[in-house]
Amino acid sequence: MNEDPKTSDTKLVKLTLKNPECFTPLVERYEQKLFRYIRRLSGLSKECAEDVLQEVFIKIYRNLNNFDTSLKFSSWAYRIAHNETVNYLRKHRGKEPVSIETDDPDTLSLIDILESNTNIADEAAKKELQEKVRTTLKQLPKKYQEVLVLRFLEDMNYKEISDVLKKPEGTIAALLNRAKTKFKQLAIEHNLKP
Amino acid sequence: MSKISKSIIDRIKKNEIKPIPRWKFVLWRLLFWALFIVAVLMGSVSMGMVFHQIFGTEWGFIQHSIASPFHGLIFLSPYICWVAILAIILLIAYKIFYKTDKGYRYRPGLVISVSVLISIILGFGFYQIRATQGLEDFMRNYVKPYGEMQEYREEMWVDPEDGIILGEIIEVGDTSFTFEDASGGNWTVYFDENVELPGYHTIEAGKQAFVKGEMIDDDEFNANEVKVMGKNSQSPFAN
Repeated sequence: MNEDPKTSDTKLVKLTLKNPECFTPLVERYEQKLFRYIRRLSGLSKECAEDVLQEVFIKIYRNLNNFDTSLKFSSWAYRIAHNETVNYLRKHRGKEPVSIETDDPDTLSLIDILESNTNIADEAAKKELQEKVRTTLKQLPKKYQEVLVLRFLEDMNYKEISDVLKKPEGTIAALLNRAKTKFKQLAIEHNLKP
Repeated sequence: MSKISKSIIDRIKKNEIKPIPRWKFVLWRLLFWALFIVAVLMGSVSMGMVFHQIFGTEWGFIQHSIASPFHGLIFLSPYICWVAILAIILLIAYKIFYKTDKGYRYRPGLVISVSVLISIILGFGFYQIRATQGLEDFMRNYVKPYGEMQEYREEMWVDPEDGIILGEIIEVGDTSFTFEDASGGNWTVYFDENVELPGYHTIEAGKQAFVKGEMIDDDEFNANEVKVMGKNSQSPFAN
């Protein structure tokens, strides 16, 4: 498939409904993003996260006719990924270590929450900081982890988060505010501030 | 094509997975909206029953007649019952609304407030066309606990030793009338020109009345006050 990279998601959805081959560019466009999101949300191993990702794309494909074009395709896809991940964790409760996946470099954007002047150029310090961020996030309630991951790691706005989590925007704003406050408190306890 | 993309596309082809047809989703959405409308209508009927109880009650009479907190609780039981049913139905309506496509975008408080407002408007309409009377009769006849609760509530006002009887005027004479109380007891009630008749309703056969006075024998009663119910009232409270 040689799809124009600028072809919109919505157009690709319509094309896929006529020709299943057109699903490939959609999968390729979102596989990395959704894979990272699943791992960040669940802390699943690479293999398990891949299994979940497969199920997510199958579900997306089966439900293409239910895609509401007033939503962003990405929000809809993330919602399915979110639900599938939560279902997977529910089914496999206790079998997988659950922790927030924070190994990738952009994870450090979470540290912006702290408005810190930490110099993270030093590799050892960076590793240590990542570990502390991971520990801090793990201690937060799931609802706070979810909004922080979507806002600061997936870089979504309130409306997009609202569409992913199916909660009113006002609720998202309140959750995010509380999550940031909690994260800051825990960050101080873990000496994340310089 | 990446390994995972290939694996997903292969799985779709191998298992001949097809997108679910659009009509199924449309039907599903319609079902939720229909359920939501039904829930709001049921909430409106419950609200109508609350109106039926409120407007069907002779509050002035009740105010003078509640003897204890227990009596008050029994008296309030139908209101509590209908308000509880209303609250449950509105909660269900909200849950259904949340399941609609964009229901999650609205705050629960807003959805419930709008549902309550619709219920008040429609409920008042149901009360005005007396649809609530039909439901009250149905509940009394076919929902045993409800019927028993209402009967008990009415019998509570038959306490001749304490000087009160509630029931129906059977036959009217010059200085007495025969009376059947809510428990089925028959009385001859005596009255004179000094008897109080609050509410400006005259003593007439077939009307419901509440009599205050003194029991002078097992089936005889001296009336100080005869409260004859209004044209549409059959008891001090809605029935």
